[in-house]
Amino acid sequence: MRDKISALMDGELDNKDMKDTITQIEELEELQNKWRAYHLIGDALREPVISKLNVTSDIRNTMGMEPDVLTPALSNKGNKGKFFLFAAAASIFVTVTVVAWIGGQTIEQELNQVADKAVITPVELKNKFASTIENPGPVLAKNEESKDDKSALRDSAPTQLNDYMFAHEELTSIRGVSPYMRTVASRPYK
Amino acid sequence: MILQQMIKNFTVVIIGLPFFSFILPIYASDTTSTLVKKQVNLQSVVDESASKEAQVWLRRIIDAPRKHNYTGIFVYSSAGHMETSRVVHMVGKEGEFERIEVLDGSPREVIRNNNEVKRYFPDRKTVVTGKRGLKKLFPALLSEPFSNINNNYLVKKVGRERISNYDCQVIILESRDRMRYSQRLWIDVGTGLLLKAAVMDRDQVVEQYGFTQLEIDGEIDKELLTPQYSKRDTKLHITNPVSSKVVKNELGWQVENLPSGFSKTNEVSRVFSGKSTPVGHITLSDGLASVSVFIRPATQNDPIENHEFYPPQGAINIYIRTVDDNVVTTIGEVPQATVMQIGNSVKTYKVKWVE
Repeated sequence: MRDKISALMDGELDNKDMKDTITQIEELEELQNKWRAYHLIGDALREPVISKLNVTSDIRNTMGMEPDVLTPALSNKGNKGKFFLFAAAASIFVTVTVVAWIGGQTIEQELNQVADKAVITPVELKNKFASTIENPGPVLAKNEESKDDKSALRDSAPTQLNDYMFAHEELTSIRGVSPYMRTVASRPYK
Repeated sequence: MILQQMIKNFTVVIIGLPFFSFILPIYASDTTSTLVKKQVNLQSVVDESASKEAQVWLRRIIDAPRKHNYTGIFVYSSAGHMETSRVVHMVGKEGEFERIEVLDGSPREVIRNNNEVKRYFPDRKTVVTGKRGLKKLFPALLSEPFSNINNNYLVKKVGRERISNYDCQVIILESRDRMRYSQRLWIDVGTGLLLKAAVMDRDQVVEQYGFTQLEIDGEIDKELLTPQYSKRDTKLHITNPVSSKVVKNELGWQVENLPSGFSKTNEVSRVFSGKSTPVGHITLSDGLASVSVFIRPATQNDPIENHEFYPPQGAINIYIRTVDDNVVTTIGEVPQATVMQIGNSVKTYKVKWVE
């Protein structure tokens, strides 16, 4: 019913649908409320939108939700002597040095992976479209068609294509003055 | 004693090294993951904020023509084809009025009176009437355009550039995959008017238009909005190509394999001028780019089996396929691979044409 109300507001219903929809709106309070709400929303949307973005607070909030512990929590199990501590410290130093080097490599790899995910590589694209590229069924079918078949389609389709272009033009979302340019371009389908 | 203690410490080191070597990398890995997660989350926050800001600019593009008069010359180009047009746009208490006159090639003219659009083709002695597209944004606007734009496009607010002597904010909507084109928009900072736009396939410009001369908020002589050609040729044939009836899953057709990010937005049965058989029209969108699928019964003139691309019209690609005694035409401002995937996945589950 929402679509019908929307179409009624856009003046797109035929006479029968228009009468039916208006009758239903008159009879049901819920639909009347919906009708009023749609108009109210429409009016509101046509008003200027002023939005103040606060990126800082978003970042701060997100960072605040993350754990901040970046070093291991050392447990205190008693004094084992200066030599033990020295030995342990030496062991940790050696290990941490090695781990830091490994960790650095890991960070670099993971960041590279993140970067790779953000930007699709040509190889990935090729793989993604491999089935389309390597198995262009429609093109093969097209080549197999008889010349008469293709010319028959060309005879019947172009005039309708212009109608389809006009109908599709209604959907164009943000083209400023240009939506009409495609359909009035000096290259209509003849 | 000292020797014993050294041996003991050496043993501890030998035992401790593998232990720390085992434990610390795990911890380090966790720390690394945390850092990466933070980086990703931070990036997503930045992306989301950029998207929100971009949506404000996109809203301004839609709102601006409802508030500002303008007159100017703009150039439209695609595939080496270029046309110059003059536009006059006036806003008043009675709404929006616009006249676009193509200055190159055969004479053509577009007259808009609020939601009514008339395209004059004097060479073909034809006037095509229709409705303005932007009105269609409501109520679909509530859930659709731009709200999920961040899923399919990487939104970038880049620098400012001057177009026709106006300071413009440049917004880039970069496609996240190859199933859609990217867009580059130049928006007047003062009014929100879109002064230049380019549809991009990676680094290649598929289609572009931009003002070369523009005056905003000047006085408009109403005479400039009067159609010129209807006066000269009264024998123009008027056609209204679109009368539609909203249907809900009644066409008996569906698109089974939608490209990532696309969803069905509408389904109507249309009757075009001069035709008696209704045409099914399914519309799809990814929040920015739109695709139409038209379905009509095949006639004797149509080949039994056919798959064919038609020459693109700017950024619009067209793919025609005959299936189950019906001709399926897919049209959209998306790459060829996308219209082909959509066209090839149109299936019928019951054939029921709405009278």
